[in-house]
Amino acid sequence: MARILICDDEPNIVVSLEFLMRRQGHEVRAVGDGDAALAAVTEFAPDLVLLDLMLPGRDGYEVCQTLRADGHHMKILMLTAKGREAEIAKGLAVGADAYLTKPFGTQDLVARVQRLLGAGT
Amino acid sequence: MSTPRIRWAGALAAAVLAPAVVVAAVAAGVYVTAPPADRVVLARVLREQAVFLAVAAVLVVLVAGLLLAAALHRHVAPARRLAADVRVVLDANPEHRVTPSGAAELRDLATALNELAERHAAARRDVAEQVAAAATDLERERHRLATLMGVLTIAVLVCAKDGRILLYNAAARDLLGTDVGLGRSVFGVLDRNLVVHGLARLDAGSAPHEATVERGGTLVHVRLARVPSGTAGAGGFVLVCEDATRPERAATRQAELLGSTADLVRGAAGSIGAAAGAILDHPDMPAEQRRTFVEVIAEETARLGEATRRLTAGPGAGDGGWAVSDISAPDLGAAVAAIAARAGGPRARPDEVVETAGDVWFAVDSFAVAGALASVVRMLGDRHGVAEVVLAAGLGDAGELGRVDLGWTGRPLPAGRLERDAGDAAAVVRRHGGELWADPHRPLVRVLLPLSPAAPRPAAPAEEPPPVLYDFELERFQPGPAAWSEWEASRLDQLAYTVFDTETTGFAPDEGDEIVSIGAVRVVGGRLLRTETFERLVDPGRSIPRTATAVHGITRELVRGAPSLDEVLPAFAAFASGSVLVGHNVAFDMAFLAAAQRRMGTALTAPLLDTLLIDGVLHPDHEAHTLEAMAERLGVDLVGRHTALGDALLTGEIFLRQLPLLAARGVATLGELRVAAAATAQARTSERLYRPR
Repeated sequence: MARILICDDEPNIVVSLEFLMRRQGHEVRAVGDGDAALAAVTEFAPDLVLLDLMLPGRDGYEVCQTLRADGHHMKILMLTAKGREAEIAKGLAVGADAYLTKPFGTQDLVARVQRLLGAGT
Repeated sequence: MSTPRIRWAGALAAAVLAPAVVVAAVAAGVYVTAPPADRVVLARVLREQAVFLAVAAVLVVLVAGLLLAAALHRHVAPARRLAADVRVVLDANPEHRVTPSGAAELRDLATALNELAERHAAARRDVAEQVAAAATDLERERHRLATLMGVLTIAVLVCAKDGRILLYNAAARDLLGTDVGLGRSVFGVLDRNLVVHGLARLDAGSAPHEATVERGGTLVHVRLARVPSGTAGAGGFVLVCEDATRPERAATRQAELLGSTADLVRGAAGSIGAAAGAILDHPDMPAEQRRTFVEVIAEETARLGEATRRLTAGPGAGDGGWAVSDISAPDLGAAVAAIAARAGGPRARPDEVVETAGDVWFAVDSFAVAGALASVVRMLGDRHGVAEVVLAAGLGDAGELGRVDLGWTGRPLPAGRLERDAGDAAAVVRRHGGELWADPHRPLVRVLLPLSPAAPRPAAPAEEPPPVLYDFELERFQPGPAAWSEWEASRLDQLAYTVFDTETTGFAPDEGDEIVSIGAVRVVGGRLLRTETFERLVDPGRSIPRTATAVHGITRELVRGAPSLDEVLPAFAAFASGSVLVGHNVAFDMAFLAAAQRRMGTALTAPLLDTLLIDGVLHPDHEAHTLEAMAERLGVDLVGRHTALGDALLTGEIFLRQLPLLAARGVATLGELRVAAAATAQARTSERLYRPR
């Protein structure tokens, strides 16, 4: 249905995210850091990025801002263990479309992804 | 002072001339009334005896004059000494006694006066004892307060309306430096604007105002309150200051630990939740897949346990939160500007904050946040060539956060630069629950910070403990006026004085003699402030003759490594600022200081007083005006002589006793005293009076 790039350095969450997205019928690619994410975007051309904020090297904010600066318009859903008002404001300011705080309900995640993809098409 | 002398000379002349006139008148009468024949005889006798008569007349006049002069010497001069001595007994030293001299009657009078003085002194002692007894309780209270203030580790300052310090404790001096002193302006140590702004806030009805000011590399947390009306010092304010740096360090560790642990917990919970959700949402998944998810849950549960253990075992855990206090956006802006200015980076302009966000209050550790924002300002200068940063503030879009914007003219920051170049600042902001980022489209760094939960409430008119201290009397004393005309009109009992003395290598400044030490003490409110002294050894840059060392004990070895006079002079000028300079034979000391003042461009512009000349005003008939003679006359103990500070203290004591004597003579203002001193014999016979203008 859609191509989804998962960017998270925590294998234990990646395994669940991959499973959930595949079950929705999406094509999934997973990477573990910001540089890999930027490289994967060029090559894989995802429709949506599930982007964790706490990444080694470039953090999620920087990845997000760089993608937008490079003219990418795919949906970006930020996922993070941080969930404070200030971080949400910052995430949206640097170009994210939505924000999901860990821990999150799996159904909530799936619904959010569907909504973002629906709005894009 | 010349009037009595003229009168005395006139009396002497009259005394000599009067008999001559009487004799001449009698002779003229006899001559006119005599028959013509007798006149011829008289005329002949007069002609023949002219020489004899002339000699006789001169002798008579001379003898009469000498007798009169002797009488004057035996009666008038001792009487005037008597009067001066009685003044001393009355106004300065009750234990001083009149020395009987002159005529027998005057000696009797002196003896009687001494008896009177004895009884007067006894009566005074009685009264003093009663007063002392009554004051014991008060003294105990004062002592208790002094002890309490002394052991407080936070700095306490009580200031008069105009900022002069009425009270301070040892901690205040430790924290804010030696410029803290009774009668000195608090604005010498704290930014005037912050205090003025805080007072305005207080008067607008907010709770005790808190601010953070930067001072000498440390940040000082200041709490400001009004002195309640109806008590001593009313209209003034109280400052309680703390070094904001220390609690910050422990708090940083604690907050970082908490923050990182919370992130860990959320991450683990996220993994568990996702795995559990996957199992629940997809009951049809293969057994192998399900096993993977169950393993994830087990592993992440172990991580949660570890995170909890770390939290409770961490260093400094559980020892309280960190120093969050309310700070207004303008205060925060001013603090950022002050720190940035000190760091010498780009200028930070907070003016817009005052205009637009005067009512925005943040609940943050103001020290840490101000420092963090200033470091962003500095980074913008160092890494991105920004010359000026304009601060703005306002409420955030959401309810609980406010914003501070750092804007500049130029290009926006590229992605990730702020994080890399100002990571420490970001960490500080984050542990407040805030966030900061560079706007992708505008040259702007936005900082979100938690707002104060409620707008500052008006302080309840609580029952405040009454401040108790005698030093509140200082309020009466004028700060040193700037204009010379104001100095001259200032009342002697309302001025602050710096009494000083120097030790030197010899007596001839124009032949290369130099200062080897300066000592000074401040006199404020009729008290010698023994805790506020200045004492410096000075390297004279030359040898110190043995004769000089014999006087003051200062050797070449002792002053080796000491600063030069050029270095000490500005410090001395700062110590003496706003006060009248007082010395004994002060022209001598000033001659040594003159060259250094010229070299350094540091002029001691305050008026000068000389205790020697004042003694000339008070005791024109006493011959000895040495420090020792004056000390003895005024009942001052001679202790610690011939050290600069010891002599300054002695001179100070003498000066304090001279003040009431001057008042009794009707010399009330500085100008009057200077005129009187300039007219003394001591000033006339030498060029001692130093004229500062």
